[in-house]
Amino acid sequence: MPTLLFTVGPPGVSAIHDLLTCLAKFDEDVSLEATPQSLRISSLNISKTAHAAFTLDSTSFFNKYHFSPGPRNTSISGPPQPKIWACKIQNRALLAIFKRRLGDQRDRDTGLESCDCELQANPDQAECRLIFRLNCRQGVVKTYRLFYESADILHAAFDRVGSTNYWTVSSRTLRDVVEYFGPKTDQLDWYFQNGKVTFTSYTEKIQSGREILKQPMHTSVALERKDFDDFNVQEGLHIGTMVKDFRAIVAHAEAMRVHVTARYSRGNRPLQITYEENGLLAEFTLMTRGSANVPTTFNASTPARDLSMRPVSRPPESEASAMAGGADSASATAAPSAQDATMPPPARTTLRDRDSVAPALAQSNSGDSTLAPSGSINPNSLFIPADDDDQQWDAPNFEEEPDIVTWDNTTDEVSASSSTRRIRDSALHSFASVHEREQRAPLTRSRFPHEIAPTQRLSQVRGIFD
Amino acid sequence: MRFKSQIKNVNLFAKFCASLASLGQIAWCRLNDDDVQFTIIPDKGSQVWSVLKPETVFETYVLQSASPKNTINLEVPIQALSRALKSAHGSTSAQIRLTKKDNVPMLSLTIVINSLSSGNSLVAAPSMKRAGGAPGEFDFNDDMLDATFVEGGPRERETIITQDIPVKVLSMEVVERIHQPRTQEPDVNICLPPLAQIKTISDRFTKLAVATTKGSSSANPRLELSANMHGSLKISVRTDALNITSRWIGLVNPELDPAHFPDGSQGVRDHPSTRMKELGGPDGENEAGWSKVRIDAKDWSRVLSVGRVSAKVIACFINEGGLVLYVYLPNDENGSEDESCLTYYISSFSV
Repeated sequence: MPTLLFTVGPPGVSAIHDLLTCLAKFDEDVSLEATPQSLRISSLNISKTAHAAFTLDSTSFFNKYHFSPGPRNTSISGPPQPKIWACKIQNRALLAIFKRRLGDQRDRDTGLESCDCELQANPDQAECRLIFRLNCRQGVVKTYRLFYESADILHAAFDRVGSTNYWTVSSRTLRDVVEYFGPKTDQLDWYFQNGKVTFTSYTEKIQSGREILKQPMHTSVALERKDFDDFNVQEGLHIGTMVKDFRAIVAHAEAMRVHVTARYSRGNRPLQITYEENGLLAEFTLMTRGSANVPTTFNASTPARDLSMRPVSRPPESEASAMAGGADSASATAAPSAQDATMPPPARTTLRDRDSVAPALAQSNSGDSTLAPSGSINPNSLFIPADDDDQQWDAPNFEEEPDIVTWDNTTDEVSASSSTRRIRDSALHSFASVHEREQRAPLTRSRFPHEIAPTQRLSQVRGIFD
Repeated sequence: MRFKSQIKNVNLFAKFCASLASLGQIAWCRLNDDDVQFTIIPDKGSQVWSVLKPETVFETYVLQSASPKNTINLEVPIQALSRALKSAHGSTSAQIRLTKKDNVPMLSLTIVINSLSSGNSLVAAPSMKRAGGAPGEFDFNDDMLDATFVEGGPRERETIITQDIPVKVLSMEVVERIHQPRTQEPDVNICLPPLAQIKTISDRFTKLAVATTKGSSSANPRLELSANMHGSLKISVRTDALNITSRWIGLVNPELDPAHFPDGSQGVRDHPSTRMKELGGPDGENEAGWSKVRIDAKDWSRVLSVGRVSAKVIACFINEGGLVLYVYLPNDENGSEDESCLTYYISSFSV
């Protein structure tokens, strides 16, 4: 019986309207997750290539905020109550409440004074509802009761430490860039070269003959490096994503007038765009496309940065068990200790691994001391191990293992949040990097004649057994 | 094959293209040493033939091809070109050239925008010197990135935008069968009042006609335009439910230039418009002095989109036959006799 109560003022209501509008461009549903520290509103698009999450801080965003997961279930060893409460709601329903005009203070007579939200979820009540109460002037109160649907919430984990490329720029600059793009283009690419950052929007569809005239414009906008506030990007590295997602992000960021930071490692790895203001943290994790003309000197060109990220001195064993989401290591204290060793097969082995993974979870991991000289094995990897990892043939322990592979800041007690599955990804799992490692370390030959590209995430595969 | 030009008057060029774009998707563009022609012949509706003198919109005009007069014929998606030119609004420099990317010919527009700039451009002339491209070769695109930039200038923002518009190169054989329509001598020539007035009233009439004939007829409403040689123009709409007419008076009927006729002033005297003037009677009110056309109202509205170039417009009425509009682009600052002109051919429907 979790309790959730919060109150926001008109500016907060406007902010919620804006973020819901933004999320609506990703998916028609939004997920709500409440923890004692924050409320998180997120959407994952249908192709699972873009995840948008807004984390609203309990103290700085809300006027009042209270969440408790409910009394500890003291009765017979039932599963422990989750420390978070999560649900799914149609975005349309929320947008109907958080209308654009609500935050508008010009309408003196019927203006909004505050908005309360309360969760009604008692085991003895037949219906669980989420209640929104809009307290307007002149004593007008509008009450909305929404059904919700409990759901497994997917989180996008992002390897912040492994993503050494980043830039920060004002939202206005990005908006100016996006405005030049043609209306029908779908792909976006950017890269940095010769002191210029070039954003290109184009359409991949190949047309010929007369059809070629219907192809949308190919637009590239080159900015100078000094237009960016903070800039550390590998020269010549192309990052490709979808114009539509980027537009949605830029539109929201521009409404907030913030500085936007993008972090990424390389093509085919996730990209994260973040910004934060007034207790609202926006995190967009987008899948990217690589480009054939990425320079191969990836590591060589950024030695200094890799160095700074590199753990000073760690035994290889601990590296082997470093979690994929290295960036989240700070909060991932309650790591799955022994479970790790019994994790199911897939292993991750990259060269980059050693260079950039933070000293995450330095607990013992028995099985993988058979380290190749140039790589280490992550038992959580999505990819088929390239050397003789015997464990892959073991039956996984379906009961005890939460289907969690990485952790993030919002969930403090990991083992309890078993309802929270996440899309795991990091720069370290890429097929490309496996391949790269293979090239560099011919000692660890694959047992397969050809590498098999991933077609599905392991977490999804296992979903059917849950 | 080579075309490269620095655009001088990008706003006018953008408006010009936007006007064309309202009539159709694809324009035939003919570039040669004398002029730039854009022609749109839609499947349905009015066609437009336009001639731009290079100096109207271009600062420099480099053209090279194997054909006589360095002619290049292109098919251009005019809406894309119009949009690309719009993004050059407020630019420091805009350059257009024909290039080839991935074997697709492109019109590539390179725009430099300096925000906070006081007109003092930081851009040094881009290193455009190339070993003279042989005719027949495309002007290959080396990315604008190799342009040289003056470092250490004042802190202002410089944005370089390139808009690539795929085009199709047409052979001479394809285009030589396309001919400008031949029309008979007009009965009435008249300078139109500002197109903003005409458009407001025409659109209002069209709406009324649509509203009052809803359901009864699927065809587009028609407007009746008529003019006489005594400075009057009428626009009317007629449906079962209503009959409205707007009339302008005191307009100018341009004088015919005898030099344009082989038999000089005799040609002017024999011209139908001279006869129409007489038929109008002393005050011009005689019904016989009016020349009348019935045109598709929605098509007319698209034609009137040319009003954005704020130009002088002469309408030539061919009684019950058609309407030809000559839209003269504004003269440049030198006040030179400008021959840049758009010609619209609008056919009349019978009753």
